Formats: sequence, structure tokens, C-alpha cells
Amino acid sequence: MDIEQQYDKIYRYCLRRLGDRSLAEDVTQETFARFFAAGPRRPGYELRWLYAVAGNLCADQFRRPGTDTLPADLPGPELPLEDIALRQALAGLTETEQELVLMRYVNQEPVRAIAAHMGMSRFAVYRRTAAALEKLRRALKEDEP
Amino acid sequence: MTKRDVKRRLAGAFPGPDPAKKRAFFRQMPAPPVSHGRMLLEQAGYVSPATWAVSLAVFAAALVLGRLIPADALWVTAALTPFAALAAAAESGRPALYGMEELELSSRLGLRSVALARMGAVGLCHLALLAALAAALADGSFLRAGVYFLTPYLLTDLLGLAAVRRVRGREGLYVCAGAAVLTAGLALGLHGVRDVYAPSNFRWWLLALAAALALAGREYQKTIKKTEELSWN
Repeated sequence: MDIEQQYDKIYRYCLRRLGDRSLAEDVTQETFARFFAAGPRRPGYELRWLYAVAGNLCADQFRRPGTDTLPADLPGPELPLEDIALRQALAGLTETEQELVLMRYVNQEPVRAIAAHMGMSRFAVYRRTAAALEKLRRALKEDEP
Repeated sequence: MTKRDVKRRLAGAFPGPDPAKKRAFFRQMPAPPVSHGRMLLEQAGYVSPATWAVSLAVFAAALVLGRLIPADALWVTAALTPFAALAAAAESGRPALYGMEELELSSRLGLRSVALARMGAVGLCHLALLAALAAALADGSFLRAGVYFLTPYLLTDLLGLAAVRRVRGREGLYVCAGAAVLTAGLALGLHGVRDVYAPSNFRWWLLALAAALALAGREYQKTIKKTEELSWN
């Protein structure tokens, strides 16, 4: 496992969840500090462990005293993407769809790993990522001049 | 706009972490946790192909000669195993031979763990091959054949390790080769001594093996300690 490559992936995952670069950097570093302290893991399970810990730490950010919890009907934090059309198109996806799209097409994780992390069947991952991609394509097509 | 275009835009749209912060973070972190087995396997990949080739050639030659002359299989094989040990001892001196010690010391795993893992990988492979040879060539007692093969192997190993620790560079390698030839010659010479491979003298072999084991263990310790002494900072 290329640990520095995994760092980039976990950072992007945290950035999508938190929408803040500095916070994403802190949570990513905390995830990796715990990974180093935890000792060797079973080969093939490291990435799953990293995503799970990063996910929990991101959730903890909203549980901290003084942090407003996001109501369920509000969209997540805005992504700091330079591609405004893409950002708007992504905002039209559900949280789960955004996570699937990020893990599959940005982090290029295998479907098996995504299914294990998200607690879905592989078939569900294929179906939902394809549907999310189609939604994005339509939204971006509408946006084209 | 096709799905492929969307995928391409997605892949390039998410910013990565700040490279300076990332570098600073990894610089202060210890080496990533790796299990002993995995470390051994990873470092085995860095062992010179020549070491593996020499080891396999020696064991193959021992097997073929042992099959061709079954009556003398034990002492012929015993005389060949020092050359496999030569490959193992030479491997431990490779960083010094190519002037790579400083570079390996500065690596995140450190020369000590790397040297231990590589010697362990070669040693374990040789042990497995020796056991296979003993099983293939033993005419009755697997234990006896194992002791006959392991004793000259360990003797060469301890002489070789002592040589590469004291004599640096290519000269160390020559001393190692000399040690292998000396031990092989000893094994050949012992064949001339009456009944030396007879079961009645097996207890002396056991004694020699115990002494070789203890001395080789000490040499391994010293070799590893030397890599600690080299540490900078």
C-alpha cells in the first residue's frame, strides 16, 4: 500500500464530508496518526480501516460542543471546487451518491472496497454509481451553452 | 457530454492536500506499521537475484550429485552447503560493497531492520531448502542428514559474517569465498577420516552443530549491532 497515495484519497474523502480544507487536513492527519499508532493491520484491510476512522472523525467534528449539527434536510457543506458547474451538479446528488462518486471516480477504489465500506452489495454500488453519474451528466449537459 | 467526460472532469476537480503540509506530516511520523511476515516478504524482493540464483544452483547441484552417487550423498551435500552460506553472508555485506550504507541508514526503515529482514529471508529460504535436501537424500534418518548439512552451512555463515564485518568491500567477499572453500574442504577432508559420518559418531556432530549455532547466533548479533553503531544523529 502506497501510504502517501492513501493520504490523498483520505484527504479528498474528508474534504467532501467537511467542505473545509484546513479541517480536512487536520482530520486526515489524525486518521493517519491513529493508523501509525495502531500497529500492523491485516493486508488488504488498511484502506477500509482508514476510511472507517476518517468517517468517524468527520462525524465527530459535527458532534463537538459549539458545532451546529447539520439538519438532515439540508445539503452537506459546499465543496471547495473550482469547477463551479461540477460543484452545482454534485450538490444535486444525495450524500451517499456524492460519496460513491468520489470513491469510485476520484479515488478510483475497487467496487469491492466501496461495497465493504458503505455496507452495500457490489450490485448496489454498480447501480447507484451509474445512476449518480447519469444525474451528473444530465445536470452538466443542461448547463452547457 | 458523455459519461467519460464527466468521469474525467470529476477526477481532476477534487483538490489534493497541501504538499508541504503532507511532507511535514510524514517527516515527523514513524515508519508505517508493517507485520514481520510482510516486512520479510518485502525485503526478500530487494535481495540480489544473484544470491537467489547461487542458492538455487548450489541446492540443485547437491540434489543432482546426491542422486547420482547415493552412497556418498551426505558428505557431498555437506561439502556443497557452505557455498549457499557464502551467498547469505555476502548478501549481508552488499550495502558496504556498493557504498549504500549511508543511503540505507537514512531510509525510514533503517539499515538494522532491513539487514535483519534480508538475512532472515535468505536464511529461512536456505533452511527450507536444506530441510528439503535432507528429506530427499536421507537414507534412513532425516535428523542425521539435517545435522550433517546444517553444520558446515552454519560454520561458513559465521566465518563469512565475521569476515564481512571486519573486512570491507570486495576484499570481504573474497575472504567469505575463502571461508566457504575452507569449510567445503573440511567437509571433503572429513570424508577421508574413518567412520566420521557413521551413526556412532553422531553425538560429535550434534556437539559441533550446537557450537556452530551458538557462534553463528553471536555473529548475527554482532553484525546487527554494527548497523546500530553506524547510526547517525
